[in-house]
Amino acid sequence: MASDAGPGARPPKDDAGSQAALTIESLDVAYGAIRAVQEVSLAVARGRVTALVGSNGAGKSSVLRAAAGLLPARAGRVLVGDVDVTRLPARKRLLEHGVALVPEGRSAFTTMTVRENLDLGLRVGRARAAAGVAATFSLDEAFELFPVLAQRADNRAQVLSGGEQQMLAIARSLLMSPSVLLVDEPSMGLAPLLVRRIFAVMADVFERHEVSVLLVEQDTAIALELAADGYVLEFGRIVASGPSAELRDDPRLRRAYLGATDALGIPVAPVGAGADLAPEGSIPT
Amino acid sequence: MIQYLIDGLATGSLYVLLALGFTLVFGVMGMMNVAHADLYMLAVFSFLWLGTDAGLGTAPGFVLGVVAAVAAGWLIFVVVLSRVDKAVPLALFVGTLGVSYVIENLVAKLVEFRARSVPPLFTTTTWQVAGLRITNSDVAVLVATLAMGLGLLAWLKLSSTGQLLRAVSENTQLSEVVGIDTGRMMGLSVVIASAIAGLGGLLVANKTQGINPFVANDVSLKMFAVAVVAGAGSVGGAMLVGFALGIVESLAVAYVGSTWQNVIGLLAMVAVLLFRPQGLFGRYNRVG
Repeated sequence: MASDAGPGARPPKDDAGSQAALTIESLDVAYGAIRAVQEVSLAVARGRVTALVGSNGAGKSSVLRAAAGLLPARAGRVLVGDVDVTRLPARKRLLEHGVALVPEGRSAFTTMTVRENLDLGLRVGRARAAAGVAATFSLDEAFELFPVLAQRADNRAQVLSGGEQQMLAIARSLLMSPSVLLVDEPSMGLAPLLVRRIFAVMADVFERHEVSVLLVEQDTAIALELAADGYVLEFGRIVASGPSAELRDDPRLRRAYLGATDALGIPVAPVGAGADLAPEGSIPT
Repeated sequence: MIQYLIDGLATGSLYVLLALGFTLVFGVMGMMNVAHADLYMLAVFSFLWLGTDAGLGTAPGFVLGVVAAVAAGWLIFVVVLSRVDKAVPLALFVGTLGVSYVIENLVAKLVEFRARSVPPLFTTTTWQVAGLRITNSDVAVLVATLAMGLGLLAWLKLSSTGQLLRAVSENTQLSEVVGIDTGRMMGLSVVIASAIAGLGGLLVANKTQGINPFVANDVSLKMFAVAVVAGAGSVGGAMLVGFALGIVESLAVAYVGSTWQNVIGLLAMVAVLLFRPQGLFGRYNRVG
């Protein structure tokens, strides 16, 4: 199901700054006295996948949850298009601005049927349609793309495997006609082969529907394969950013992904969406 | 023997009516409202004050009784349930217990600590069918209980709002993620629960023809027992267990002795908690 078109076949999007579907500016997130995210700025280009990678505990999910409105931002701004949504609760960000989250782990309502789960996504899609946002994805398409969901439509989501539940969560969020989709660790708890399949399906659907995606993922290699642009987060700060192809092939950064401290502080030319993101200095210790 | 079954169904109706709402709120909010049974008492006194004392009449008094129960339930929701930290169950327990004491003693003060007789809503008749005594007020309670219980069950299962309530009851945080107004759904569950308690209370008082401010103390334990044995959040289970408890109590009174009536429900509760903590029909975190 993987898309034939490689990353290079994508038409270049011009002027990523003003075209960004989602922009995060100098975001700080804290849990009590612990600053989990510090001065994170990034941009998600419209119709493209942007990956936020980094090791476990780097603060990736905190960035995502703050973007979704599930965690308060201590400082900084979150913009959808050019609308500041920083002060809006999660529900309004979703219904009024199309910021949809696919949470990490199993996030299906397991006591409800697969169809009822998808209904919850359609409900948001209808509300967005009433506000003038064209639906990007229909129930038929969801069933076509994820045949297992069609087969299991009237079963409780409980009977789905972890991977199938992940597909259900993705389909549900696409039915919401999102302006930006936040995907949190889709590989979590899944066997490597299944992770490959999920990523292939995501690549296909995101490409076909030109979904703007911010993908948080611990598996750096596979995330940068899917994404057009990437940001590397370490200890709550962005340490590198650029087109995925460059990040992927940078041997010095490959070490950084693995958490090797000798590679930190290497200046990486910030290219693409939301420039000037990599701090000049090194990682705070 | 069959007569005891009939009597038991009538008693069980009261347990079902209270447990339905209690378990619905528990399922949706994950919170025990200890003051829930007081809404039943409040509806009946409101009916007496407005319908009888103020002379508004039976039908308007009946409606206002239900309205009073809903208003009080809503107030408990806004003042206590939606504010107390859910992570501290004891705070919630003590908080709603306090509300219960306040309501009971406030009403008791107003009626000078006396029980009152309740005028019948309609003329009571007892039919003799094949040697069995069947009273129309019992039938009214039973029919209303079945209608409300099955109606609630069907509504949760089939309506789109019921679907949202089930989603919130399974996972509140995930419900926020899919854009459900969880606070509104919780408020809705409290309103429905209060209306059922009020309506049920008025029909039960019509049968017993009396009410006292502390009636909740007697039925609260049964309400807990039914909800716990059935499994928190299980509406269908609350109906089955509520009726079963009524019948078992009725049989116990007949064959063992009336002193055992109140023990049975609690014994069942302890037994179920020991062997099946999620309840007979409970699946953790859901209503329906």
